[in-house]
Amino acid sequence: MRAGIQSLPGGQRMAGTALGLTPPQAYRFVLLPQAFRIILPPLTSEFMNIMKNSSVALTIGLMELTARARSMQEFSFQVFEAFTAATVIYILVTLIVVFGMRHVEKKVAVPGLISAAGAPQAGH
Amino acid sequence: MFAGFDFDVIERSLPFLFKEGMTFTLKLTAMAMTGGIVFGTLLAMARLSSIALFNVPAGAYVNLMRSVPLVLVIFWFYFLVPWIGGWIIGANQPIQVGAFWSSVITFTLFEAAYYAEIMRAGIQSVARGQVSAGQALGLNYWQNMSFIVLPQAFRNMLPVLLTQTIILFQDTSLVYVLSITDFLGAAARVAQRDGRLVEMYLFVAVVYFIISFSLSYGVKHLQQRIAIIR
Repeated sequence: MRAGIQSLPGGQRMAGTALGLTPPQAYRFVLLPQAFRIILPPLTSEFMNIMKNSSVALTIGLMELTARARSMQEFSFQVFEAFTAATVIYILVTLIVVFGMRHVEKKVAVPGLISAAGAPQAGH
Repeated sequence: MFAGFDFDVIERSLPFLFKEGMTFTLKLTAMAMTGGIVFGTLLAMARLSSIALFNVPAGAYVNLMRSVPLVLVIFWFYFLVPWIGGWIIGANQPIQVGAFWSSVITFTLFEAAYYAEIMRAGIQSVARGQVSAGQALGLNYWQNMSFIVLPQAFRNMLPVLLTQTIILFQDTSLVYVLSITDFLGAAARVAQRDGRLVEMYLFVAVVYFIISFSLSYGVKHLQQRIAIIR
């Protein structure tokens, strides 16, 4: 969010002030709409990261997808079937997220507003 | 929770934590980082190649590794590596692979996908004129890559590569699910044996914080020093 807001030209905030908008109004009507559209691509990767990181909850005993696949494997000794099912589900969810966000990007795109460059981000 | 905070359990278990746990974590991080960067660079070169035989499997591999969580990949490789090893050497049953080597292979292959994306951006950040100049000098593709493109790509991407290594260092704690004694696993064992969960987990958190914070601070410093102004 910070990177998105800082990537806007300073003139946007100043123009908001010149029009008589208070800072909260400037954020709501001028800055944040542009910032959210700019950060949609990195936001997609963050969204996917959150879904993948949910698997770490198995260390505290939460039976999420990976934990359930593991318990399937321990119960039935069918290693590959259990983990293949979990992998396919993760891939499907990732694909749905990617296509969904692409659709959202197209729908909210403002012609002429350039999105953030695809700089490589380190991630999990 | 903080009444009767027992510093002694931390002091008593320091040798075990650092000699057994931290050495495992550091060994795993170092091996996964080197293997990951080497394999990741090859993957990035394959992805950028114009030959479909290379760029389609490399792209599929990178996308697959980036869509599944690390915990699932750890479990996959823990069960798969003995079978694949047995198939490679022609045995008719799975070979014995310890938890350490299974986790080294897992982390190398998993992080290679992330390093591949970073190196791909790095290779693409080198000006096209460099590649053309190399070809004009009569260098073939491999000479071009190793003498001209990759050194520049590495220098450009060094901060991001180091940040990914710091994330790798933190992710190695996930071998906990295989009950391996890395730094966090060693602390968890002491905590469960002595019943001192709060002290041990707090200590582990502080150590990870100190290491990761000082490394990221160093990376930020490095970035300011080697940034090439274009």
